[in-house]
Amino acid sequence: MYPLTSWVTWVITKKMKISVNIEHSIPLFTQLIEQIKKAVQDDEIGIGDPLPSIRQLANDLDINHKTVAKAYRLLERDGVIQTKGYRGTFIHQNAKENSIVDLNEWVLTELNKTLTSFRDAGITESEMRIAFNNLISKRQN
Amino acid sequence: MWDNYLLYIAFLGQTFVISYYFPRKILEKINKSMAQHPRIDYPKLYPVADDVINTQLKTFKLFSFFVVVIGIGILAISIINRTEDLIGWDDQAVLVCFVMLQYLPVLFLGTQGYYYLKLMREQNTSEHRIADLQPRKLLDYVSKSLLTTAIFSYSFCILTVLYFIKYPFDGFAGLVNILGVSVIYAGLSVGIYQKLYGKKRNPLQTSEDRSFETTVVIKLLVLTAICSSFYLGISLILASMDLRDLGNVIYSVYLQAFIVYVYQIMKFDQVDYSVYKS
Repeated sequence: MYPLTSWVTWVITKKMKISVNIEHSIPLFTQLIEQIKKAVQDDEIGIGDPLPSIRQLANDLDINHKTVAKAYRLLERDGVIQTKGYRGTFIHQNAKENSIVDLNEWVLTELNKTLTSFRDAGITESEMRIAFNNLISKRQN
Repeated sequence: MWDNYLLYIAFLGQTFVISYYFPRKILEKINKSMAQHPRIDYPKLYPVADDVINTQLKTFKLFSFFVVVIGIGILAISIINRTEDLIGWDDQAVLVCFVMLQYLPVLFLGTQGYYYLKLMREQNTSEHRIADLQPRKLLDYVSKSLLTTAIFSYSFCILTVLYFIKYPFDGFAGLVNILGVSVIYAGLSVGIYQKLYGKKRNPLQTSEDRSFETTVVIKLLVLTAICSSFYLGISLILASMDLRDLGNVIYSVYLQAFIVYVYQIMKFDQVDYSVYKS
């Protein structure tokens, strides 16, 4: 029979790992986001589980701190993780549902709906483009 | 005179334990590890040529041998000249200077190890980088009781110094003692922080090995903090009772016990060497 102590050791030492390929065409922050979302979906990390600090993860992966910070910022925006001040970063309570949502896909769908309604109203594509650009630059200012 | 003999015995023990026994055991471990994991099977373990490694190990051995000779020399001069203090100088000063000299070979080996890891990082061509997705916390590596002891020993030291500020004895340095122990604690805290959150030095090391190494190093740093503050407190008490010489003996024995403990917790055989295969 497999010794109980070995099983206990396996459970204790079994840790969720994250890996990046520094030569891959997919940006590093996207690789981090995708893996964390997948880990949430596969129940490898659960609601409320703590994540390493930006410094720790960046140092362990030997990548720039800003890359990890960007990944965490986007994951927080998507409601997959939440930062609780000095206590650290944790998996959001709605992370499982939120990690399925593809924000880019949602933006495209919503834009498509709006463009269709504009076209139905007789607005030309160049008018839409000018209006859209004006709106973007106004918001940036 | 009895306290002189005690110090001689402690000094001889210190010379042999730190500069003979410990280096010999370290070399044994390194040679055993190299024999069990030859370059042909584990090429990534050797970032430099065998000649370079052997020269450095020989330098370490020779360096340690010279320190033993110096130690025996100090003892011989003191005994032959029947000096009150070691080589007619201040016992404590001789002990501290000699300890620094004793740690130089270890420092040399450590520096070489650091350089090897740098070369390993440069030679590492792997595109994949792996990390644990769990935060590292101090209490994962050191027990609450040990941390509490560190805080207690610091408080003990501070309270002892404060007591002697109120009731000073001849030769008491005053607040400098608090500054000294605080600087030691601050330095060790930086070391602990670096070990917990600093860069991964060995690019091939598994997270389990790194975790083991972190545990060993942090435990040692906390123990160093405990020992230094307890020693300072005790030595002040002994000095106030005009038992300075006994304090020096305790210091010497303390160091030897510490080195033996360090050797006991250094275990290379648990390392996962498969990562160093081609």
